[in-house]
Amino acid sequence: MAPPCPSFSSHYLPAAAQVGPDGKARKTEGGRPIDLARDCELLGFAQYECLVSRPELPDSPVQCWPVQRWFRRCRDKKGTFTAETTAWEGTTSAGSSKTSTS
Amino acid sequence: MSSTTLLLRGLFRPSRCSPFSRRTAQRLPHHTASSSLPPPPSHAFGLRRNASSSPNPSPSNLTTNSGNGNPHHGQPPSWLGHPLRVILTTIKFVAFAHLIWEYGISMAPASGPSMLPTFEVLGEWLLVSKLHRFGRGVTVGDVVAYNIPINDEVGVKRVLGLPGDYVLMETPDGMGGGNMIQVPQGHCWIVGDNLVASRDSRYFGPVPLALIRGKVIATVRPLSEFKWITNPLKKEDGPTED
Repeated sequence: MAPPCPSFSSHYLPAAAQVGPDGKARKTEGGRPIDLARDCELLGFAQYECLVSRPELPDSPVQCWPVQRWFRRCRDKKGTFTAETTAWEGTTSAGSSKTSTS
Repeated sequence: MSSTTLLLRGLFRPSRCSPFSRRTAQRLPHHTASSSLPPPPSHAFGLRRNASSSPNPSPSNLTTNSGNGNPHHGQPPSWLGHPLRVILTTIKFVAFAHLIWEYGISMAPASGPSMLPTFEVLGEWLLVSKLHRFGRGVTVGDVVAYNIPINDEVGVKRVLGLPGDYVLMETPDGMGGGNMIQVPQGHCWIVGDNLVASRDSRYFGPVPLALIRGKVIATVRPLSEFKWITNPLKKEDGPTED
């Protein structure tokens, strides 16, 4: 099992991102602290909330609503890391529903 | 006599249960190696001709007939070769298939609603690259097959965080809040694409990379569809205001 991991509020993400998994401070190539908005590129993809209309049918229609997730990929002296900024940057729902048939 | 000829004679030599046939086989030029040998003497053809016309077939004509595809009674067909060779070839084939299946590529059926709409609920076959086992070369956004840590089943989920990354612990609520966690070393954070019907790291926490069996690279619907699974994580301009 995973070791005990402290959780923190998403509001503290910019501060938490300054420390690596080894407990040491992250620094950019220039020796500056990590600034998620300035030093990291914004990435994203969608996950979904899907509803199977009639689960008893093998070809039941499926309706899905996208849930956008945002990430920041940053580079420090030891390499790259990713921080999910969905809550930090705000979640947007595309509003349009996608319907597929299984 | 060349070593190739000897080898070929050894391969097609009749079994030990007919020593007389073995002796005659050495005496007669074999059809497989005939191209590397001088033309057979005329008495060899005479023997074949005489043997076919003889009312009482001798052991020598049994040997010559075996080269023409007529099986012996009570002996394996000549194309199988020696039983030991058959066993060795089978073992080699099984070992090679095991090597490919465990360390190369495998395919398995998948079912369930947790990865909708990426995968259908039923009828999906997934092509899994075992080169990515233990999380090797896996990046955020990849779909992986893994051993579920709370039972003995194999699951399929999308990677949202690797060691040192920061991820939301719960489903995004759209309100800009939530608790986060830094993925510990040697672990990853996985979440199903269908957030409302997936039991994943939100439920059992970070998953050890040692439980990653491979990366899903394609889906196959038998006789109908083949689709590569690509990483959807891409650069964005930022959230748009509703």
